[in-house]
Amino acid sequence: MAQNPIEIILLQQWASMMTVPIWITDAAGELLYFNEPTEDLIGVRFDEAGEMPASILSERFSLCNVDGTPVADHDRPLMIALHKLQPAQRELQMMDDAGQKKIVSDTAIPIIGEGDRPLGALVILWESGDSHS
Amino acid sequence: MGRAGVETAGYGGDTSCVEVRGDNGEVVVLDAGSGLARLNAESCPPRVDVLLTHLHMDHIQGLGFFQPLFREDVEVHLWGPVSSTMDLGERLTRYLSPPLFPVRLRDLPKLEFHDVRPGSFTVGTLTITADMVIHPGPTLGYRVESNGSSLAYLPDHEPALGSRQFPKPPEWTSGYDLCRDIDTLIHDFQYTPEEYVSRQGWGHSSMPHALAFADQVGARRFVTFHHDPDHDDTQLDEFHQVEGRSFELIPGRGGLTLEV
Repeated sequence: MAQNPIEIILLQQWASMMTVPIWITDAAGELLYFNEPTEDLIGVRFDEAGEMPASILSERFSLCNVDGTPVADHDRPLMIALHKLQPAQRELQMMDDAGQKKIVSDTAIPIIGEGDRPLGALVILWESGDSHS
Repeated sequence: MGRAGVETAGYGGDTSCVEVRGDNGEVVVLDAGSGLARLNAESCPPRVDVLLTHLHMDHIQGLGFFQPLFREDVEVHLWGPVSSTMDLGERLTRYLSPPLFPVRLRDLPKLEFHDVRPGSFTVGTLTITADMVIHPGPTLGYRVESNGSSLAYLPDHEPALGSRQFPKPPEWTSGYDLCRDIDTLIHDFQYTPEEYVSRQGWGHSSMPHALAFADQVGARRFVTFHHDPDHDDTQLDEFHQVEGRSFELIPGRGGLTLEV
């Protein structure tokens, strides 16, 4: 596997020390990394998961709108960050691996490296509401 | 190392600067530390390319004393990392202008700037690949290849920054692609493990990290570089007593000449 750009490597090191779920994708939306709090949510270790599109994580979380309706692809913060190179945030409902429904803020930030190179996106899930089983 | 004196006479007291000569006489200079003044010999070709890894003072301080910059008959090309704020010329002007220096860059006769993005370019028969590496501020490492031989130059590099363990998998290791299967690696060898504890984030390697990196990338030869100014010849001799390595270890010294 080729070495990741230095900006991605530095973000991965930072994300590995954070206590909120964070994942990192490349510019094509392929999942490059998710941290331990994400592992706790989905019940899969990153080292065991292998390469996968980031959309798999969204499916794993069963992310949908707060009213339970599906989120259109173009409204997903990750897609906005990747395709419009803009930060985006949206309140979503999530079901974790234990079947708990939670309201989370899904924040996506485009990663634009030196020389204005679009390198991918960083996604953070902020837990912001009560849990419901 | 930036500390000239009798106690460092063996390893040398100049800051980072390496001259590379290609098969067709091309001259590429890696960084413009104080040793750059030695390239003022009459053998200087009509074109010189100076590749800057970054713009910290110890890597550019030789520019003001580089005679070819002031000659009408020598074309000097300065290459350095692209920045999102100012171009290379504007950033270097901060140093090469009054009051820090008496001459302005714009007054020099044949000088051309190149903002380098990660990727490859050629200088004569030399193929040069640049990539960002871990060091404070935009910093490049360079790989120079010619006729199947290769040299990598990462004088300021902290690949273990933020790592719980090192080495890490190649895809998460700064500088890995630049240095993979390299014939000659010139790499940061600045701190003892004890020193590194209080200097993490300063952008340099501990000696064990540098050795582990050389081993990981499959370097055939490792030339240690960017010695700490607090280390004298006696200490540096001790630091190079390393056993069980997979590569030839060459203590980097001022004036050292190698064929790649």
